[in-house]
Amino acid sequence: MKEKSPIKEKSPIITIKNLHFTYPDGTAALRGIDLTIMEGESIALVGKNGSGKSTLIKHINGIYQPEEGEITVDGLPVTRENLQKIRALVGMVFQDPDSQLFCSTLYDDVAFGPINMDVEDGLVEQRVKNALDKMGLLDLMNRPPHDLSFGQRKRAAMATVLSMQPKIMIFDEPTSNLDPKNEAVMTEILSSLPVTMILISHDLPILYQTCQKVIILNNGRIDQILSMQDFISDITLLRENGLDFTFRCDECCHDPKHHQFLHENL
Amino acid sequence: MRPDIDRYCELKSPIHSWDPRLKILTLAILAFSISSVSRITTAIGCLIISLCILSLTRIPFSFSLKRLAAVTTFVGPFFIVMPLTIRTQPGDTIYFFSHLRFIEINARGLLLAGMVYIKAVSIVLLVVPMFGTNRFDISIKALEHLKVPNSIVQMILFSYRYIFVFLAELKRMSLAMKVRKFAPSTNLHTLKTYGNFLGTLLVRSFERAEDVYQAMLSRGYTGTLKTRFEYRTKFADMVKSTLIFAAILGIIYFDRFFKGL
Repeated sequence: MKEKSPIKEKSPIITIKNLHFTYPDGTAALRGIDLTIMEGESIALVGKNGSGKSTLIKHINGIYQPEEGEITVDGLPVTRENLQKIRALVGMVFQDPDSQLFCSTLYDDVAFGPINMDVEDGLVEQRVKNALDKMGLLDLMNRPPHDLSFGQRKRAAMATVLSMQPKIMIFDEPTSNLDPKNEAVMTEILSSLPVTMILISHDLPILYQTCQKVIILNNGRIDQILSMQDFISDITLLRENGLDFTFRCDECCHDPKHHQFLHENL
Repeated sequence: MRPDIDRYCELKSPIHSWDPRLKILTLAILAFSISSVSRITTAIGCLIISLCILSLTRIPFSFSLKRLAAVTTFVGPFFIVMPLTIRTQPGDTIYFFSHLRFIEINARGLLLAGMVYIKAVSIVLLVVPMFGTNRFDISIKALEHLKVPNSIVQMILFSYRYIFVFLAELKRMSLAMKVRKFAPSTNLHTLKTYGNFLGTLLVRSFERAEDVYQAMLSRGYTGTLKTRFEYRTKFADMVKSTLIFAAILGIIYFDRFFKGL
């Protein structure tokens, strides 16, 4: 595991006030969310299935509009007028890479965001190549996404967002269905990203290695906000939120210090 | 057969370097003119033209043969139906079986089936030079330059991209049925199962479409697909199109006005 640098808290980058949202079928997904995320923070968003995690992150990107309450991202209110600016600021990596990769070649998929942001031609190419290089996919840039393996598609989905150079990145289950090798690669990449990060995952090792703070959602409300250390020390809380790692931990954590810490705390 | 028509788009040939807009337009007009011919000799001429264009692409002929298999499945039955059903006209040559004299085989019907088949093959052979010599998205975006509405262009592009995902989904679901010992037969249970199968596929497709749309929105999509590919028409492109148009005029002249053969 990488040594985490001390959190340098800067100004708030995401502010959510009294956010309510109900789906058209009447399901109340969010019931009064109040949250402030500081620039540079890495946040783990956890909770049971249906607790409102995905709905919340879709509000931050402006995919859903709040029914009540307000959201500001980097000082900009998330409104229809600001959507393009918000989407350039907030990159979102969806759980299923096949939803994220819809172009005929990997290059086009990674270029899709920068082109929509009206980035200059030369810069688009540079950004695409940088993002693909970071993900170890540069050699595959002319391949159609359906020809890639699942692990490669997951990384490709991340490259599509990296090329937009957002200030905030949101990941929905970035390691789901990955084998331990690909999972380790993904973890390494995530912990090296110099952005504000929100991570939804049921994979505790990756949350532990990348996030400093945990937000627990329950039934559309914020149940608790606590540090990662406090969170992993509470096994009841872990199990309540569908996170249990005692077996998987041996497979994917190679740092003896990390191991010792986890075992001492459980 | 995997529907990856642009597998050989990286090859170098006069057809590959042709401006996609002019190429699609010219070859589409050629295809229409082939469909309009009414003499078998002209149809054979068209087949030779299509084969020449195809050979210029340097794409292995076996790649196009796979497509011809589909045409043969569809047009092949014409060779049985047409000689048996075409209305007899004075001067037609009729063949009989000695013991089954009520079955008349009209030679003109056979010739007509042959012409339909040759025309169909000639047109299908043109599909590969038309859409297989550029990346599929570039070919389809070229349609937009030819005034095909953007929404239709996007629908074609996404259909092409997600065929693979749905095929995989279809495979997974059918495997899930097999492992639970589903054996289709002629009964209500089978019908119900297939109904559920198709329903689930439809719902999943809808959900997938929603997810893709959200992923596009999150990356700044505002309703139009932008591309950085620059379509340029060079002098050589004009020459290629002119040659094909000359061939089209030749086909029409030979078919309509030439009295010999």
